[in-house]
Order: sequence, then structure tokens, then C-alpha cells
Amino acid sequence: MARRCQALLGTYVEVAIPDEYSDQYISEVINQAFKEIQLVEQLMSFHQPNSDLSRINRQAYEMDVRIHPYTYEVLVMARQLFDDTSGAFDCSIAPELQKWGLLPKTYELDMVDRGTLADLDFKVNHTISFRKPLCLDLGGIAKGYAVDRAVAALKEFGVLRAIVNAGGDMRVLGQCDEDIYIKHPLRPDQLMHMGKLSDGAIATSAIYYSKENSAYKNQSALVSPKTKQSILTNQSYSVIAKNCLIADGLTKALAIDQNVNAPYFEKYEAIGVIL
Amino acid sequence: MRGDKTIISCACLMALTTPVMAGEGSFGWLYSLDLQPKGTLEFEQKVDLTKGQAAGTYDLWKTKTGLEYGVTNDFQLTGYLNGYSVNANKNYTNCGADPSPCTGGFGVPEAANGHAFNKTQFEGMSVEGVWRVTNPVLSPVGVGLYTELTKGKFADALEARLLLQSNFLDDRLVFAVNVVAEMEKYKFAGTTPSKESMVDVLYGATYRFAPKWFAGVEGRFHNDFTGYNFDTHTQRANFIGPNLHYAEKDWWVTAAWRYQIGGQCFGDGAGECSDGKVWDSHGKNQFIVKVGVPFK
Amino acid sequence: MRWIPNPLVANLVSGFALTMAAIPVVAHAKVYLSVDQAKKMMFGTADMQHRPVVLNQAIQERMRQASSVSHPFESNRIWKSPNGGWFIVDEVVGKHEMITYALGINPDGSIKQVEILEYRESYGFEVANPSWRQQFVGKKVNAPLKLNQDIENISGATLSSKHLTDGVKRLMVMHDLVLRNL
Repeated sequence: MARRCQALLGTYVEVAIPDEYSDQYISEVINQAFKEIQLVEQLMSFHQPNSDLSRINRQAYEMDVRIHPYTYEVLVMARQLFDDTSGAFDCSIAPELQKWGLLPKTYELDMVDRGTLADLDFKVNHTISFRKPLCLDLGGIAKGYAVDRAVAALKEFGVLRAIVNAGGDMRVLGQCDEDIYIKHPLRPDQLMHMGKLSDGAIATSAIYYSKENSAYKNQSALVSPKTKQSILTNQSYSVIAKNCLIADGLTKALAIDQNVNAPYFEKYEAIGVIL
Repeated sequence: MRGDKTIISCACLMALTTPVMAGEGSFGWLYSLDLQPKGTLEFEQKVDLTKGQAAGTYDLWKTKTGLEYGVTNDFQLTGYLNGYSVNANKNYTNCGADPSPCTGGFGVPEAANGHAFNKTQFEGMSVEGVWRVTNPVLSPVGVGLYTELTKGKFADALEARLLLQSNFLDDRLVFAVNVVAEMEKYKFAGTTPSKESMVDVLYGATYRFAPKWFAGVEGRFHNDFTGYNFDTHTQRANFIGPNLHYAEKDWWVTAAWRYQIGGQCFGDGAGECSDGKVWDSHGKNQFIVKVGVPFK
Repeated sequence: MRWIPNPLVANLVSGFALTMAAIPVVAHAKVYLSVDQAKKMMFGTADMQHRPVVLNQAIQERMRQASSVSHPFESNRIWKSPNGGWFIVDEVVGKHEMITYALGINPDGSIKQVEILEYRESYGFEVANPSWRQQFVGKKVNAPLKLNQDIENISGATLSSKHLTDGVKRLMVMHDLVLRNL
């Protein structure tokens, strides 16, 4: 396989396609895949003031905001995941609301009716508005979506087999039974062989124990939407699903509900694994 | 695209098997406001036969082979290659001073009036544009404008239509009216081309009586004039008949027949009539078969 | 998707093994989902109770007036979920053949989802796109549910979009008049 790697999405993203093509073609194809990832990153960046996400966080409570179809699609799925997991997946962040100035300063924080993903209004022409003040962070599922879009770009080029891996969010294209390894939660330098995957995705959320300063180092911030507390466990949560967006979203729900037999797994035809 | 040929041909195959859309002609001669969606192409073949005049034989075959393209969802452009074939033999009884019956009618030069006349040839080309102003699926009345420019060895023509269509019963019942105005320059008759103009009203209805099948009626109220500017009224005639339309996923076909109820000639055009019917380019019966194959 | 778990590790973890049912594509009809698949997608493992109804002329007439759908509604493909949600299968006229679709309604009367089950046309298939169908989610019977009002048209698929939108409106009216009182 021919592999290329770029620093994107806050991690290293690797795209691998069979090396039977010419070097030029490989470069062209993989570049397109990286371009898609860059686009998703730009659209859903929490920090860039001009990203779709920043625009809706700033403005969508006051007015309708028109966004890129990709962002719209991610929000649609975020809402669907929110509904299907009964709120275990919820990418809205409450404490940031004051920072964004959406709460009038005369109000106490806990007197204000903060919103959840249920307060997203979807309108025509890829337009969004919030019914209540909301601050969204798409960090978790945006990575999975970027991986999916990269795979879509590869498919458009006629590539039949590929692997896109964004720091643990991975998608396999092709019936190739790719071997999948997950870090051992207590010994992150060891890998465990979980199984073989074809035409699917796997995503993992975990807090890995850092030996250096004997403190828990968050690999992904797991915050329970209901309790607003950080989740501090020494387990890793993985989900295998047909695409990376779903896998990503469901890992968050799995970390909250801690139940691999939750009904939403069957509904999405996904598999949850807790190590 | 460079790269492995097998993979690329697989990608191409997928594009071909993706379902495409079509602007279908559910009527024989009436134009509806069902247009080719944006960016799609359709192949169309029409064969039109006008048959039978006062006596003897008269067959006028007209073929149009065309490619229809949706420039936008509401504007469609079509290019045609046209052919015709005339087979006439002693088909007129209104021969004036000449012995009757004589050979005449549309497509027959004056020199041929004593004997049979046959001619088949590639005629020329047409370009046609249809602009849908309102969509009958969304509005009570769909309105469109149509124009066709034809250049041929036989005749040149410029035709314009006002298209009207209303749909009922979940769009299974379609009513349509076309108001047609045309200017024609006939070049077959002699050395001097003759100029004619025409105003027609086409009207009809078609109904989806079963999945994939439509059936209906269509009629034509026809008027001819001398000159390009409707100078003198020369003929009037009425036609009516049934139509049938069948559509599969990858192609469709329409067949229609109209029968001349009757007609009259006036002034300079008097020679074209007999037995209460109009001849010239019209016959006792007219048939059309159209086939469309959408592709991209 | 195909997932073959490592048997050694599988003993340590428990997971939900579900074989991915292949969606059959028939030559001249695209079958997107079976009724059962759609039911499961919308209501999961809930025990759905088959609840056909009989609609009198007056109700059918009101449904027709509200939606302009003229062909009669076949009322035997209705299911109720234990908490008061509803799953209805209906057909609307496509250009040449019928489009079969399913509507899920939440206990509060809002639309849960619209799924296309069978689409036999070669045109207008964009109505199966999730982003188009998402427009319906959350709407209640008082929403216009009308093409070019609150539902965006798919240019080039106007007929299918219109009929599906009208179909959904009709089912919402039926739910409002009949189902929610059952």
C-alpha cells in the first residue's frame, strides 16, 4: 500500500491506497482525500472565527445561519444520534455560553434555560437556527466525518481499497478484512488485535493513564452531558460501524451509558466494545 | 483520468447504470411542459405519416432524429436531423383544367401532375427551444414558450408556440393546449418559393390509467394563410384522434393517430380541397410514433 | 460492513453481533428498505402493535382536501409503538408507478422520520436523500407540509417531491383526526 501522512485534525492522518498506480496518480488521489479533510476541519473548527461552527455558535440563536452542506449533514447526524441515544451523545457545551456572551450578564448561570441538541432547528437551504442559547463543539464527530469524506473522495477516483486513519478514527474501504488493533487501556504501548474489518469504520474514545506524571491525561474530553462531570475511568470505548461519523458519535454514548447492549447499537447496526 | 483502466471503467459503468431522468412526450403532436432536467440528454426519434388524400396514393413521411438537452431544469434545447419521403400518385380529384385524378399535394412539384411522384431525401435540420415559465406540477396552469427554427431543402420554417398545461388527480390526468404560429417557405413547388403562415390550436388530454401507461385524445384546429403575415386565409381544418404512451425505466414510446373530421379552403387555396376535406400537406389520417431514450 | 471479531478477545468483551442485511436492488425497482427494516430503524426493538383502521368517507375527504392527494388511502399498514408512537406505510403516485414510503410519528405528534421503501421510477430518486427527508423531522400537523413553503423542492424531481410531501401531510392529518385518539 502507498501511504501518505499529514498533520490534520489535531493528530496525524494517514491515507493508504494500493500502490499499483503511478506515483503521480497516487499523489493526486490522496491529495484530494486530504483536501476533503482540510475542508471539514475548516468548516467545523471551534477556534477559527470564520468556520461554520463559530458562525452558528455566535449567531444562530439570533438568526438563521446558512452553512455548508457538510456541516449541515454533520448536525443532522448529531441530532439523530442525540435522539437515538436519548441524549447520551450531546455535543453542546454549557459553560462556554457566558464566554460567548450569549447569556446576559444580569442572569445567573443556573437560572438560564440552556439548550441541548433538541433545540436545533433545521431549515431549508442548509440553514440552522437555535431555539435556545447553545454552544456546540463538533470535535468528536467532525473527525469521523472528515474520514468519511476522505473515503468518499477516494471512491470517486475509482479506488476500491483504502484505509484512512485519523489518530484512532479509522475507516476501511474494500472487502480486505483489515486487521484492527486497539491500544490496551492500561498499557497504551501495547496493542490488542480486536478483529478484521471490511467496508466499515472504527472509532475509539479513552482516557489513557500517563505514567510520567501519574495523572489522567485526557485523550478525548469525555464529559457527561447529564452530570456535567468529567468521566475518569481507565477503560477505552470503541465502536465498529458502517461509517466513521456514526462510530465516533456512538463511542461518546457508549462512554456515558457504559452499555454495549444499548438499543441504539442495533439500530445503527454497530458494535460497541469496552476494554 | 490516469490510472488503472479496470477501476475507471467500473466507475464509468456505475455512472451509466445510475437512473436518469427524461423529458417525455406523452402526446403525439402536443408539447407538454415535461422537460429534460438540467444536464441530462435524451435521444428522440419521431416518425410521422400523413396518409390518404382524395384518391389514389398519398404518403408523406417525415422523420426527425434528435438530441434533447436540459440546459436548466426549465429550459430545454433540441437539435434534429430531418428527412422526408413523398409518395404520391393520382391523389387529387380537384385538378382544374387537367385530367382527374392528378398527382399533387405537398411535396409534389407542378411538373409531376400527370404521373406518380416519389422522392425521399435528407431534408435538413431543426433547432428547438422550450422555456417553462410555470410548472403544471406546482401551479394550477403551467405555461411555456416554444420555438423551432427549421432549414431544409424542401421547406424552411419558424414556429412559435404558447404551451399551456394543467394537471389533476395527482398529476395522472393532464390537459394541454398549444397555440401555434408558424411561417413557412416552401421550396419544392417551382423556382419561386411560396410563403405561407399558419395558426393552429392543438388541444388534448391524457390519463395514466395503469402504471407506465397513459392514454388520451388530441385534436388540431388548423388554419393556413398566404404570406408570412397571415395575409389571406386559405384553409381551415379539424382533426381528432387517440394517443397512447408507455414508459419503461430506460425508454418510452408514444403512438398517436388523428383523423381529419373536415376542412374548407378559401380564396387562393381553393384548389387544395375536395370532398369537404383539406389536402395539401394534410391527409385523411395522420400517424406518429415517437421513441425516447434518456441517457447522460 | 463486515466485522470478524478475534475469538480470543471476543471472550473478554461482549458486543452486539448484527449481520448487515444487504439491501436488494431489483432491476426495475430500487428497494431501499423493507417494511420491517424501516420499522426497526425508527422504533428499534419496541414491540409494535398492528393497528389497522377503517376511515369513513368524511375523514378520507378531509385528508384529501388538506393534502390534495386524490387516490384513496389503504389503511391497513399502521402500527403503534408502546409509548404512543406510530409507524405508517403508504404509497403515493410517482410519474409512472407508485412510491412506497413509511412515516414515523412520535408520541407528541411530531414527525420522527420519513423513509423511502420502494422507488420504482427511474426519475426523482433524490427524494430518498436523507437531507431532503430531514426537512420533515420534528414537524407537526399544523405545519404547512407543502412543497415550496416549508419543504424545499428538488428541482428535476418536482413530481416525486410534491407527491411525497402531500402524502406525509395526508398521513399527519389522519393521525390528528384518528390515530392520536386511539
